[in-house]
Amino acid sequence: MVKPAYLWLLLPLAAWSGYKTAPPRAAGSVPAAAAEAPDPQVLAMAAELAKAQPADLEKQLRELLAQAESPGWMNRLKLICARWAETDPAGALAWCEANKTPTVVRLRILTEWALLDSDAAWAAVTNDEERVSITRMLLNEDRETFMVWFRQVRKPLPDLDPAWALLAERHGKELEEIATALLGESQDPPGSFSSLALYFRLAAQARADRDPAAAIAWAMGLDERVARVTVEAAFRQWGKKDPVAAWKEIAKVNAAAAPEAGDEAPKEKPPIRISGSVGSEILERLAKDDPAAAIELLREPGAFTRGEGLNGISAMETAFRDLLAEGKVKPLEAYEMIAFSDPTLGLNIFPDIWRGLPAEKLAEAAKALVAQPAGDPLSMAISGVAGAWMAKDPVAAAAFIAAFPDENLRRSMYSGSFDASGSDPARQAEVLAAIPAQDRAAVFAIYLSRFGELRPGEQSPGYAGPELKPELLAPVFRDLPASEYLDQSVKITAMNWGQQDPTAALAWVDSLSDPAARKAAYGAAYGAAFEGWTFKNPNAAAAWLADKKDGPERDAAALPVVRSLVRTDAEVAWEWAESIGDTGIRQEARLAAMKVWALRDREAAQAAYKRISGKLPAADAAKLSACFGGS
Amino acid sequence: MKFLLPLLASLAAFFTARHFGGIPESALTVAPPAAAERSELRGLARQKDRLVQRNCTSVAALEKLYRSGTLPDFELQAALRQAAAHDPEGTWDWVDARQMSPFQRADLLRAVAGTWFKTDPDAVLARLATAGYWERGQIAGSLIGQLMAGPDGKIAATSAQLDRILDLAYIDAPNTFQNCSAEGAAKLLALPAGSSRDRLLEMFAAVWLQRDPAASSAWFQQLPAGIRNEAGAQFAERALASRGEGPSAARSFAIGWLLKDAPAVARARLGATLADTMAETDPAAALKWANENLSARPLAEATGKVIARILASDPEGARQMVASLPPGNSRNSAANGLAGAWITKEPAAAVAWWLQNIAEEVSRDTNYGSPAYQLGSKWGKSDPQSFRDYFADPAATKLPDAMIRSAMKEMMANREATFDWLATLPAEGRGPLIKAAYHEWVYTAPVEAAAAFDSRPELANGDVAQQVATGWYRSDPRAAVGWVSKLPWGGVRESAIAGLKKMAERKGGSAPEDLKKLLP
Repeated sequence: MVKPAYLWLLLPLAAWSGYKTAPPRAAGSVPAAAAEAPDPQVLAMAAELAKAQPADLEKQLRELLAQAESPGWMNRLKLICARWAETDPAGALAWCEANKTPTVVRLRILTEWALLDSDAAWAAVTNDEERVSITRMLLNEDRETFMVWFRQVRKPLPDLDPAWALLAERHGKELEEIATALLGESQDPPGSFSSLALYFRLAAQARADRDPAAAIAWAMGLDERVARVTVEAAFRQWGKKDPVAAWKEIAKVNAAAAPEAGDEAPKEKPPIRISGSVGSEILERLAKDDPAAAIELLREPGAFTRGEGLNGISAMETAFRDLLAEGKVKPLEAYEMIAFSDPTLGLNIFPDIWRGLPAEKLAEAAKALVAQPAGDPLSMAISGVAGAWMAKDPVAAAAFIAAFPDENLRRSMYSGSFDASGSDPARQAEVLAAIPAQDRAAVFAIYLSRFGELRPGEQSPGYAGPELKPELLAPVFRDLPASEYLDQSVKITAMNWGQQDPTAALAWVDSLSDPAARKAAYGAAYGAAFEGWTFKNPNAAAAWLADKKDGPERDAAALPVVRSLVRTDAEVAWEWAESIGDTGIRQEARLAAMKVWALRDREAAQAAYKRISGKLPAADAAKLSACFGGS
Repeated sequence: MKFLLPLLASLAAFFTARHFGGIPESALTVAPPAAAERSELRGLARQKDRLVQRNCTSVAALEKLYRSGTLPDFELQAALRQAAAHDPEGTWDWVDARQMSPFQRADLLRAVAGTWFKTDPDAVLARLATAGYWERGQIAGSLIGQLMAGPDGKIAATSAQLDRILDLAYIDAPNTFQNCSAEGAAKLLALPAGSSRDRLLEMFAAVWLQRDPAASSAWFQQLPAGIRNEAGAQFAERALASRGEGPSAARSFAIGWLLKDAPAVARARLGATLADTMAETDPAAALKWANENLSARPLAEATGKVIARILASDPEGARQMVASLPPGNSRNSAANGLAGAWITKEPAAAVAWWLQNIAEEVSRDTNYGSPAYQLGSKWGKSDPQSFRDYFADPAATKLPDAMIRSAMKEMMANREATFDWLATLPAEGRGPLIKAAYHEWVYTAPVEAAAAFDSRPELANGDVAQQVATGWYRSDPRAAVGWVSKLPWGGVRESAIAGLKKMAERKGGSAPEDLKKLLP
């Protein structure tokens, strides 16, 4: 009789057998594969070929080659080649040669032959390039036969096919040995990148799965031509299991790689710095499970340089767009998480993270966001939400925006839809025209002010925004209510148009009904157009202006004329300045002319100054006098 | 009872272990194949056995097949299409979760989207909206291409769906319209009128003109003026940019259209490129055309490009041509371009000529990226010795500050040699050069700059100490104060402290405690 105490020995045995008999589970969220029904087309083709002889196979192959892209083409080719390789491989190759078949047919026959009789197939190939192709095909067919060929050709380089990872699990050590030997023979100079790193990358992934720290230490010690890619592969693999730990270690590695003060001596082996793309991949992965933690990591210094920070922002953009679209994070939660953690991050990603939300969710998001405290992040966020909503349900979105009382937020919302058209100049006018008259100019002017000021005629124009088509924009600003924004909008349009088609631009400016807008546009259009005129036909340009009646518009147009003329003839420019009625504009024009004139002909400029200085207010006289370098 | 307890415990251990068993170590870790997994079958039987299992009617089957390592890359798309026909959204998610290059990812998503669009276009467009910008453009283009290739002679999409596709992102027209023909043109023209149809027509016409102007020009001329002008501008830009790559007939057609039929705005927008193209054969005619047809920035750019071409064959002629231009932006632009090309060969002569031919306000422009800055950068990089030689001549014209700054920045790539050279210059003349050497360095690497300052006491002066201290203070006030506190007593230290004081005042609030201790 067994003593009861001995029965406790069953415990480990039971646990072990329980573990081993557990049913397998599929990875991630992919459900377990149900048994697939066999492909009936393949079964039928195989049955048809089972007893086929070379003559039948020739006929079948001819028919197949005549029907490229027919359904199941590749499967049929594989089956024909498999059958031919087992009946008469040498004859099949001869037939291919005689009939100039596509390369893929010969390669398939050789691959099938290699699976049946590796040595014979190897002997039938004389071309190295062909051997590499067959080796690659064998990888997906049978890894043991692949290794037989690979040991001899030592190619191809690994790619992202999972077959390589399976191969590394079984033959990792041998792959490393072959890669190390290849590196020893390589002519790649020190400091360069060697594509052999792809073998080491494979090894690093397998090692990092077992022990990431050891894998990184091993990779750090490799030849510098392969080390960085290998270290990064280990970090990537680690990041899949423990993103936070991997990120923190990257920060440490990068901090150690930063140059120290006065450390100019060339190092025998330069330190490895992990590129921003690795960090961003890790961040994006983490953000999908724990967005708040990812944002905290992004804010920690170390893993990204200032330039690489953009990678992190891009990772957050992708992650939050997916989280919102999948409903894993609510819009207001996302807003609070981003805006209050890091305003800069918000300003960068708010315009583009909402586009995956359906229209009703966008409506909810807009209503929730407008109740938040005002600020730049809110403007950006609401602009992005409204832009996405307008694209999905323009009627509902437009009604909500139009009824919204806060002018600034309303314009931010409209700017979202304009932003979406920003890269397509042909659509700008179309989108603007859909914005109600009271907000149209403001939306345009505020949007463009983000991109700097356009300075006509200069080599570095200062403006870095989207290309504009002024001839399409011009009608959109006709008959809008007077405002500072309208002045700015017509000025921008006139300036752009004046550079391209001065006559049309000036004619449009003349047709504007609002006097303030016309005044602003005159200056801009003249400024842009006049330089070309002074070069080509200065008299025509001056004549255009001379025909204008005295008044504020002529004065506004005369200032850029003076600025243009001063480059060719400062004295004439001074005379034009004197003809300006508005005292403020006249003083500005005098200063523009005098600054240049004083450098070119000091005596004449001083004489002109003396003629008027007595009549000027002291402050104006002092400014003009300063052009001579005195008080 | 004594028997029951260990038996029950064993039973519990069995099921607990069974519960935790079977979980893969990682979603992306693949188990090594056991030797038994090798098929015993051979030849046709082996291949049949493999292919028959490739019936991807679910995402799980796709995953299993992919992980088996038996699916060549080029056959993955077919498997995806099959899976997408049964579960498009799941198949999209499957691709989304894979780690791969952006190009491969876009290829695979294109395959899924194409299949999905046939059964539920609205769903695929909604899902596509969550993709990145570049990816959206790639997939949107392929959907348009798929619609164009439809066998029924009509584009089977509603006007609203077309609007949504075109709103997704920039469409890469040459890739989208792979096969341009009269049949494709007829398909597009059969679409309901609207902005989407017009945009597609513009893109299509531009691509067709580029590929085969003889076949497409008559059709192009019959398009409505608005579409024709936009298509012509898109085509001309592409045709002129593809130097020698596209058919020469396309370039000739583009030049002819710009000269005769293009609206003024298109001519102005492409004027500089057109003048440059014309200058390949006749620079004088190109310059004449630019003067008569362009103004403002387009004219300045055209002049600069034409003169740069003349420079290659007739340097003296080009210089005379620039000198003969009236003062203004065109002349400045041309002089900048000419000097920029010349400076790598004869820097001192190029700079002397540039200073004589450029407006004073341009040479005085101290901005980063100004013409003087760019010339200095080229000089310092291409021929630092001639830059050093320039300062050996006491009668040489004074160089603009921006030029010195950028040239010194380049020369600081060889720091010790540059410091050694500076040490040979007379103390009264080298001040601006030392200041320029430190100018950007104190912002980008203040620790290194401070260490260099300490290591070269013969070059140290109060201005540079202040420059280092204030530059460093911006990024790390404490470290800057710490460095200054270790400077030896005297004028250099006083100057650095004065700089820190100014910085603290500018930043507002009270000065850091460490700094207060240094202040008198």
